[in-house]
Amino acid sequence: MIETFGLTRKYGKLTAVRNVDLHVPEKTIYGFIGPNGAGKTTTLRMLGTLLRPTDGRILVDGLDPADDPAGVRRRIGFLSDTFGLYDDLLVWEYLEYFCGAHNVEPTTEKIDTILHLVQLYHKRDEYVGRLSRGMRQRLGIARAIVYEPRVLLLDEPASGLDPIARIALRDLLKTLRDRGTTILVSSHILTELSDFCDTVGVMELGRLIAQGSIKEILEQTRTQMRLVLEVLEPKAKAVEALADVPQVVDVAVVKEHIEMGFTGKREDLPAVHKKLVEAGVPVVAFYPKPENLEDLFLRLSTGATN
Amino acid sequence: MLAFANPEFKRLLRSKLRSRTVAVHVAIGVFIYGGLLGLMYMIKQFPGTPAFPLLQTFFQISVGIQLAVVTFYGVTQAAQNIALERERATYDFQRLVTMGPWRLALGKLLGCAAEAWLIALVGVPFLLLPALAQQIPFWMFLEAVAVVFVFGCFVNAVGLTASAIATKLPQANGLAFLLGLSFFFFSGMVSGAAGGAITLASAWNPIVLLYEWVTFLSPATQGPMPFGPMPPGFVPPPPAGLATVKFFSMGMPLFAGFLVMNAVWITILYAIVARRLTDPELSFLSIGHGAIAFGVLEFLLVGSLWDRLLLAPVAGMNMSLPLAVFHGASAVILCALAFALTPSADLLRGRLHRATRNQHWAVFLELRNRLQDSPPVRAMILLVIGYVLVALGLTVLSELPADRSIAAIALVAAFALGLTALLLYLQALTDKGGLKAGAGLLVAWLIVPVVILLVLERPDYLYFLNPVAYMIGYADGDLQRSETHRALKVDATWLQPLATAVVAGLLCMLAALRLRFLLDIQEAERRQEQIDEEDRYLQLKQAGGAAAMLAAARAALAAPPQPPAEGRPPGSEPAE
Repeated sequence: MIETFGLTRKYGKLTAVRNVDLHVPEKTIYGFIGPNGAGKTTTLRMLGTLLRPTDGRILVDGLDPADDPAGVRRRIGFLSDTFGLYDDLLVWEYLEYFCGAHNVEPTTEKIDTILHLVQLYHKRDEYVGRLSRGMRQRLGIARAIVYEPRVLLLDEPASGLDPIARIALRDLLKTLRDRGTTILVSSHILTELSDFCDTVGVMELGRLIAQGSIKEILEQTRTQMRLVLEVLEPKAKAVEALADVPQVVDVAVVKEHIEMGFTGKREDLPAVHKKLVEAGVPVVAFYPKPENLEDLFLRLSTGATN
Repeated sequence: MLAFANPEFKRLLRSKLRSRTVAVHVAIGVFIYGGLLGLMYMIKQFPGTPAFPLLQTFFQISVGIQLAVVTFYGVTQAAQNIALERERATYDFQRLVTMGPWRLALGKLLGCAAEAWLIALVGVPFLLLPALAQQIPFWMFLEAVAVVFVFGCFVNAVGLTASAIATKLPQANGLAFLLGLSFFFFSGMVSGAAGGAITLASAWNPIVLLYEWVTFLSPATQGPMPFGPMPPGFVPPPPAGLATVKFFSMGMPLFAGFLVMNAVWITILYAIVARRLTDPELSFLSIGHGAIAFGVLEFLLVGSLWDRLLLAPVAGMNMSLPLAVFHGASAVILCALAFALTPSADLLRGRLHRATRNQHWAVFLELRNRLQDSPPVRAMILLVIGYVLVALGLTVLSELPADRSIAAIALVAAFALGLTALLLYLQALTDKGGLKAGAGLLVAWLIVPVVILLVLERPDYLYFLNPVAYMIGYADGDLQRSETHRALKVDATWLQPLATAVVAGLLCMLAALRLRFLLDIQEAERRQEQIDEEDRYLQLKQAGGAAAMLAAARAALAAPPQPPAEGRPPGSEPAE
């Protein structure tokens, strides 16, 4: 649905985005992660036709914004963390304006349906300026989807939201994905993305350093498995026993359990377990440590920013 | 009705005209117009006041009030519009709407000064009173409404343009004032050199034209003076509907001229606003629109000067003035277009990013590409060629000494091209503010030598240094007569044009060399980057181990930057 080829953007001497080849499949949620200053917003602004690329090519639903910006705009909805609302309009007036501005007939039914979807129907006749931050954010999403775009570009949509509003946002995005919308959402708060992203792209210093499903990238980049061993006291005996296993590295006692790296394969784990038991270690639990988006990011990122 | 279908116009009305605001503004309007009528009625009743036509005089003053409201209140509101959108972070979302920048700009043009329009609208029933009482003809009422509306649109266009150009809200109001002022200067230059011909001034300046229209319209100038007897020797001008401006020897009604001139300026300013709404990084005008604006303005300029240009030479009289006016006005238009066609520094660097070493001349002379970030030099060369052809044609037609006119043409052409090259150089030199620096240098170049030479009491040297002084000297036939010329035995006719041509050539070289320098730096950076990548990979390979392999995998995922000439997807090459 969204593809970029060698996408590059310079601001003066600074190269904010460098040769990014993005591939966002249709009807998926694509998480765009990276530290502040990694180039996420610049990339999103280029995809959203707000910024001209210095070099490279963008295709949104097969259209290039440089050739057909209006065609691309018809297909995308954009939301930034500033929301961009008119405080002096009523909620329904605001949506009606954006319907008209996108050449869509602004029927009452349509506006009410959208307001129900973002759970703002009860604020229909309220001034936009009187909404809470969470409501403003939901209205921003309503604005972005009121003309039914095929692609949603969301830049840090959850920044400044409370946990309940974040959960509501997550559910809303899943609903939109299930309805067939392709969503590209950027964030530097990884926990908010890990629950619902089908694919992720990791950016650092303007480069896309990894791209794919979280599982795929974890497997691609993993050089050793992290294991967790829970034992009864004393832990020293277990550490001693593990020292004899050649595939085990970086053994460390962390609070109530022992963590270690394992360079072997999954099939080798029962042998390790057996060795521990034979050495008289009172094993309570022995399992691979589950990895999430945060681990993936920490593994890939050096933390450098532009 | 069409306006009400414009979502932006509707939004602005909703935002600005809530019931409370409407009530307040209607009350202000009624107070102003009703108060004025009441006051005039009381003055008329006052013993000893000479008789005057109450409703006629009221009509005249009310039109003035309406114009003042749409001008001063309207321009402030218009100047805030886009600047406020930027401050409230709604600008991006407006740029994303599919109705397009032209419709969006139209909605803004009509609705950005809604409160000012409302006060003017409240005055319309009051203006109708003199017409209903048959103290003025009904067409005069209709003309007054049309003039206020059209002039209001012009003022809004000036304010909106300022708003679209300014980066911050406080700048916008100042810029609107400066833009308004520049119209006075421009028309002053055109009309002043033409001996203060009012029709010429009118034809070039909606503001002056408006003044003329109101003067002609005024019942006070057509009948007894409101507060006293008519001065001796006063000849009342013809009624507004009959006053004419000359255009290609044809008499055009002043009102029609007013509409045409306003329409032209509104369209040019509107194009700038729409362009800024499309992308604020682009140049103010596209090359196509710049060429159209140039063509229309030259056409109007020639039309305005036509009669004077073709006057048969009279012995003992200097007839160069109209041609000098044409050259001077064309120079202003070309210089304005040099600013309007120059893209932002970021876009210019973007264009260089897609070029390879030694392509500096190709980039320098590129006319256009799909990302619209070409330097303006070639476009300006084409516009200058257009000017030269028109100017040569007028020179031949006017039967004036050709050598001096050709020298003036050379000066204007060289000056415009030199300025274009200078702006390009400054954009390539700085990350931001290249155009501002260019404007500063231009103003300094026009003013500083004047001040120095006046202090040194050598004003004659201005003919060698200052293009404005040159044009004045050319118009007055002074270039070969001044004391300095006699003392130095130098004819100033060709000195400044040739010097300007040399400077323009040097500036072109400088700009092209700057482009080359940036391309060389870029090439060196690319090479260094490739070397660094290769070194890093070799080091990792030698180090071995799992961590090194992980890093190598990361490096492989983050593909090194490719030279732009290779591996680019089809269609991304700039097209001529």
